[in-house]
Amino acid sequence: MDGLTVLVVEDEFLIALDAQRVIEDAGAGTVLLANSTGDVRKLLADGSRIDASILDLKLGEEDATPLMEEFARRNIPFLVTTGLDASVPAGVRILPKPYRDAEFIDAILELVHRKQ
Amino acid sequence: MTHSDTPARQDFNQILQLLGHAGVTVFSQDVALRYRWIESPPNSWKATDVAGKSDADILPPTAAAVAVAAKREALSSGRPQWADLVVEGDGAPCYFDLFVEPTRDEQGVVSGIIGLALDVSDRRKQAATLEAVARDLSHRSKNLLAVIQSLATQTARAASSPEAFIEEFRGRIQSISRSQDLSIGAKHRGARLAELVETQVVPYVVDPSRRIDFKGIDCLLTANAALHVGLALYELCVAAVRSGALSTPDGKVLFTAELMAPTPSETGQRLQMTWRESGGPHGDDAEGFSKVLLERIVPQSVGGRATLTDTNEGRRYELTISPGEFT
Repeated sequence: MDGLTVLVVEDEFLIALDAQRVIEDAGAGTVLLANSTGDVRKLLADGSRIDASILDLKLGEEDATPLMEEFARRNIPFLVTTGLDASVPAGVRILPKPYRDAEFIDAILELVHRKQ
Repeated sequence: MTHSDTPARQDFNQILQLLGHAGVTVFSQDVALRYRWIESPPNSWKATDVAGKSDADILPPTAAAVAVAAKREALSSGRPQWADLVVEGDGAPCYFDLFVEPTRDEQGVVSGIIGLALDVSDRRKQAATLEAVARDLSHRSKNLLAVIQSLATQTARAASSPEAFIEEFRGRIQSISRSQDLSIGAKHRGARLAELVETQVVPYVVDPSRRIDFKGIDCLLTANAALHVGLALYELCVAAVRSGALSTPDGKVLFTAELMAPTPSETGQRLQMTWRESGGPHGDDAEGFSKVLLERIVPQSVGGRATLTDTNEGRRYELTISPGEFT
């Protein structure tokens, strides 16, 4: 996890804070939090480097599909955490909520290694 | 007057009419599946002057194929057949349960089919709505479980002992449970603010109406806002009872809720809530997860801001809520 920048996109702040804690405890460099697609677009526009992203599929009322497409375009590996049994594009890893810390970290590491 | 135990001929027309009212279409076709007649056809079928016509003339292609397959099977097997028919029209699709069985002449030779189509569109719509509600509910409850998991972890980190953890964790769970009760109960999906304040403090304060003064707008909070404001109220109340204004008989809390002046950059007005303690001891400063909840988590979750100050008079907590989280 060293030096990695992970973006957590989650609109329930309590869950986002907890995800941040888990990732930081595992040694990540930076954890960015975003709670809406608007927030994420701002971060992307700022040119922030993102090594991997955790995306909550049903961000409040917003649909996350455009965001997934954007991540794919920018070659940012991501996984989807969701309480919804939703359909997700092929090849995208789903981590159902609530998830165990170890599972969470393993999934992020796998994302990053798969890209390399 | 004789009483017959089977319908008389003159009853048949009325029976067919009755069936029509109930959304049942009855029809008859020959062995080549040309229609003889159709009683009470649905509007979505092209059923004028049907004599001699076939399903391809009456139904759209997909539905016709399904109907013909079932009818051919009935003719060849000599047994009743069922099928689900979906008829796409101008508006929403119509759904029918199709039931057909062969007719036989005096020699017992199959002479055609007779059948009925039952309009089940309403039932289908209801089922689809229920499915959508169930999916939404599943999502919400899994999300809630994730929130509770995070709450447990954070509470555990800050707790000084297992006993302290249990007490604080249970208190927070119960706070959420009470907010949920309000939000789900009644017909609105939300909770009234005054009721939220009362239900959050009632377990800890003997005479809440005397100790806590509610002034201002009794607005309707969203379920999300109710959960988080409820958690804040729980934290404030428990601290006040332990060492603040509610730990002595003379201490009081003034709770106000008012709309703020509209800002040019925002549509709608924010709500400002204030919890102001007076007449009692100063109370301990907020610390650990309690502080994080009040100062960061709750305001973030309701799209607002919060300030927690412990003055000489007592604790003062201000929380603003974004327009989208209440009405």
